[in-house]
Amino acid sequence: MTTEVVETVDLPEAVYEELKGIVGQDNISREPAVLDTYAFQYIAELLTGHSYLGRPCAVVMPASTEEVQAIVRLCNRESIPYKAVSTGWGAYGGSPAPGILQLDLRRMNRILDIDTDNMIAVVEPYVVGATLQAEAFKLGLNCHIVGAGSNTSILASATSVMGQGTTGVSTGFSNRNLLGFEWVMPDGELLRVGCFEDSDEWFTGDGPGPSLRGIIRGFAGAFGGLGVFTKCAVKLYPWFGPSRIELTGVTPEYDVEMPKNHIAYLIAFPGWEEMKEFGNRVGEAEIAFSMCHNAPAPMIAAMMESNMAFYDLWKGGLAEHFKYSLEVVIAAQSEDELAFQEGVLRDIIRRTKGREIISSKNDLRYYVDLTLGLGRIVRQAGPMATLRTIPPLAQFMIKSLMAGKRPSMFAKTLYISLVKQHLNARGIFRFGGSFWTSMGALTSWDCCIENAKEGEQIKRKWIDEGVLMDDGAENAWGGLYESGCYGHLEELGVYDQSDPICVDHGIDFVVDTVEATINKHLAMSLNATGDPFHAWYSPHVMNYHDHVASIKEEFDRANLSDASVYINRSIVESLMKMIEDGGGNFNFREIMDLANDEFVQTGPGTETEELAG
Amino acid sequence: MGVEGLSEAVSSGSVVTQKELMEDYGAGNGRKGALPAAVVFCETADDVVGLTKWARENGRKILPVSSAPPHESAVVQKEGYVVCDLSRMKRIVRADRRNRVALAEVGVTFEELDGALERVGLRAMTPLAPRTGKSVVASYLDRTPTLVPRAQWDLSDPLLCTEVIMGSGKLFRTGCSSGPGTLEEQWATGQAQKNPMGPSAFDFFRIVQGSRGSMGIVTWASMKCELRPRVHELLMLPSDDLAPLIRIVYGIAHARWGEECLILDSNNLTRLTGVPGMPAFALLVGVAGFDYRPEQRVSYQKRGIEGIISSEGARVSRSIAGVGGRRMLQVITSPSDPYWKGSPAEHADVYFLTTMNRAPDFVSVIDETCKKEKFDRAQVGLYLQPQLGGRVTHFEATVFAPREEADRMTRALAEAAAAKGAYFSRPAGNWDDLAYRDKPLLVETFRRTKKIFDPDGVMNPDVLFCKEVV
Repeated sequence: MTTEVVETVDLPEAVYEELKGIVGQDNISREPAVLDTYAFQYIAELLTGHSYLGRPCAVVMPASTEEVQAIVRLCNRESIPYKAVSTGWGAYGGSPAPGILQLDLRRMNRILDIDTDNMIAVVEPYVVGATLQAEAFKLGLNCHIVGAGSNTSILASATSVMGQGTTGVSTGFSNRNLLGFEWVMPDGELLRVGCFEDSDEWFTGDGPGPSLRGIIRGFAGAFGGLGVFTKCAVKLYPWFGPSRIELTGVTPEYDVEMPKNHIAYLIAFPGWEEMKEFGNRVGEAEIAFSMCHNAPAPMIAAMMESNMAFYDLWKGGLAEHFKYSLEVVIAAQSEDELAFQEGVLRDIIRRTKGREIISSKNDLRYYVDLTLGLGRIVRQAGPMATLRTIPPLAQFMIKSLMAGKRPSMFAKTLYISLVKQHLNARGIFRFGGSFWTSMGALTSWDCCIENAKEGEQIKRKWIDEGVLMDDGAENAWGGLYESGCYGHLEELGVYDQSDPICVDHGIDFVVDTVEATINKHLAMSLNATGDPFHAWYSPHVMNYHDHVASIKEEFDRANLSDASVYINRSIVESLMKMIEDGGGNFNFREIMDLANDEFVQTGPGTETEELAG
Repeated sequence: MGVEGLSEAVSSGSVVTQKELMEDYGAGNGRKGALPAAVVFCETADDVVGLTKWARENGRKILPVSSAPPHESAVVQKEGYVVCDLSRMKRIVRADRRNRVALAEVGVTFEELDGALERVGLRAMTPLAPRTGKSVVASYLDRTPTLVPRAQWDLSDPLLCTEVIMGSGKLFRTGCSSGPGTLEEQWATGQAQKNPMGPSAFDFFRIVQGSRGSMGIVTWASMKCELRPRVHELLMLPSDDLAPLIRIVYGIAHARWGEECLILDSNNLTRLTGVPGMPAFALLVGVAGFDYRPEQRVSYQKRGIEGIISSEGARVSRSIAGVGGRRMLQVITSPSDPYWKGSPAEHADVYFLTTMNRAPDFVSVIDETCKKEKFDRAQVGLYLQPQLGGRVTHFEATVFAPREEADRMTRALAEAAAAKGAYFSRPAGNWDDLAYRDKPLLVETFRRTKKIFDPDGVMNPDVLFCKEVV
């Protein structure tokens, strides 16, 4: 793998000076080393073939809506492509094209209001989940935090990106939590969407009449391709816990004082079908604070202090013991309610042949289940693998016990990881270095499980090819949203980004999964962002690209708000023609490369009328 | 302008041009407006596509209607319209207990849907005592508030996926119903059209919802349903004062307890039940148990809610003016025939969104405006509906008076409420223009959005933001 950086595009001196006048000289830079920190991004290698996106022409750090608006207007006047990033998470925050002006919104980091009675928070772009949650806890409230982690922007998830998170069964999905918002439109106009202009409050972003929430995002957002969102209000949710959760220890070995009336469980099932049944029932019973699935590999990785410790436990087949498992947290506000929730959960576990592997309440069950489980491990993993497992497992257990850790501590670690949303990111980067994701449609729980089953089969092939790491193939992550109205299970593929074979073929795993979602009608995957995927999906999904592209063209006529992860009609339609001409036989890697080349050459800054012509 | 070629454009639908049959849709029965050029009873999506293409080619405008008459807001106001009457599209395509979802055509009414849902153990989320003949999908498309705030995760709920014919004549499906695959192919993999978002990076259903047909015509929709309770009770709390009821509503919302939750004033309570002597206000809170431990659920929630109520020094009443909880529950959740508000000639509504803690300010606005306008305050009914889990409140004032007087008053009330910060999220009636006053960029943004999906301005183009804004 190379570490080359694509070409440098200089900003005219006068423009640079004008930008400096807007944000102040301490808040602008064109130092190559600084700019490259914006270009060096997770999964850039899968998009560009190396670790860098395009180098921005400069980075500015506005502190206010007025400054953002002035910058966007200047960009429009000077035809400079721009892209805003808040906390950023991977290549989505930058652009493969060199020369964009990067707006880094980190100075806009204030929680502007928390309306306790009405359970609403108003935030600026750089307010992260952990900060908002900590403040909300003090008021008996909580917020939805996405799986990318508690250090990510609440506003970005709500307005511009996606929104899956492990507590979604009780805290919804980021799109659906968005209330009023403030939008510096692509041409620099400022629009406050929703009730603010009338009421000085932000409690809704819908109306008057239709909802403009519908043009700024769908299940995915525009990823910075439709101007800049500078404020937004989000729903908060009741929190039946303390104002602060006391933690001791260091990652990953946290210990936590479990709040009264909260219990965390890891529940395993004989197979996918029982998991299906369990999820549907828990959703409709409305008893869960969190219900999600993390595969054994990332879960063990997240809990272990080293990769070696992970490997020792992993290699023996222990994971088979809880391959089909769900983490459930119940959080009641009264003992009465807890008794109801526990009772219903037990009923559902019994009816769905579940096994409570660990819980924050019951140590004994862990030993009983593990003992009973040995027979199952032998059957599933084989006697040799089991024999290999026993020494590291015994060592681990003895060490844990000597350190005063009881099995319930692992449930507590699980609990805090789910509440604070830090299990996924820690687990998934731990043993491979990088990952890409696929499948993950937002759909009925039944179909989520079908996605996971299919994803596992597809992944096995790429593990055998040596492209993806062997995480047991089944590495679905996701859960329920809105009391189980819909769910998501995305299939994570772990790879070594320093290995050229992985980099060259990592995309092939995603290609296979997208193909499966189309051919087997498994709902549209979360990969359906960016031109190559639009080109592939759109003919199977009502030619939706036409409408998304029309929105982009209507509201960003100068095509300056970088749309590398949003949409470019001319690129999508030329790729669609290639796919059609290929009669279904095409190399998606080539298509992605072509899309990137095309975007770099003609994307940002090329007026949409010209492209359409 | 004639309607030549219209019958051929709608293959299975029927075209009506007799004046007496069209009066329900426009000028007629004492209502202002204009007569449509024709009424087309569409029976399939293809009919709607055909009608739309015909309208584009012939410079006509389309007003979609899906409920049974009398029509209130869906009335032709200007010349040149063809009415697209969808009330014959009555298929309930799916009532899916496992996924707690139904998929129904746009002509299906609450009473029709509820019958189908009851058979599979579900119930529809209903607005307050909807009139019989009211289309479920139309009600949801209008973001009419439903009674169970706990179950509403988004103001768009319970609407999920939709099939829409755009003004361009394109048929489109929203959310996960858009594909890949047909509905049948999606069902085969366990899908149930439950995710309304998308496809991809836009939520077209949000653009159509609230647009009163100006962005497209919906032919079917999937919708969230609730499990049918096995035990269901209504707690009633009368009060002369709104303030304690508001604190109780917040307490319940923060506990995520209860089902139905709403506040009605004496006038509305009397109109709904037909019983006089009602208290100034009453908070109504449903408590239900479903398939799992229903009695236990009801028991702990009742204890909890009663605890919140007693902290305000109040007590739940077994009956209000002799009306028991069971009957009251039946009244508020069932379709109403005759409609409890009377005919459109006998009342007019003004409604807006606010937060519950601001409701007393708006009650004062109603009191003061009635006084100023010398209107009998006793002829105004109030309905406060917490929405979105209690974060937002629908505030509705109904003026019970002959229409002209009712219109005069709703305008006055709307003006006064606007001055106090009312947000008219669902503009209607003779106060709809207030929603767009002094918001030129917002109006322009809506108009640009409409242009994308309805380039020729075929779809109901004389409402909402399309109207000239003062």
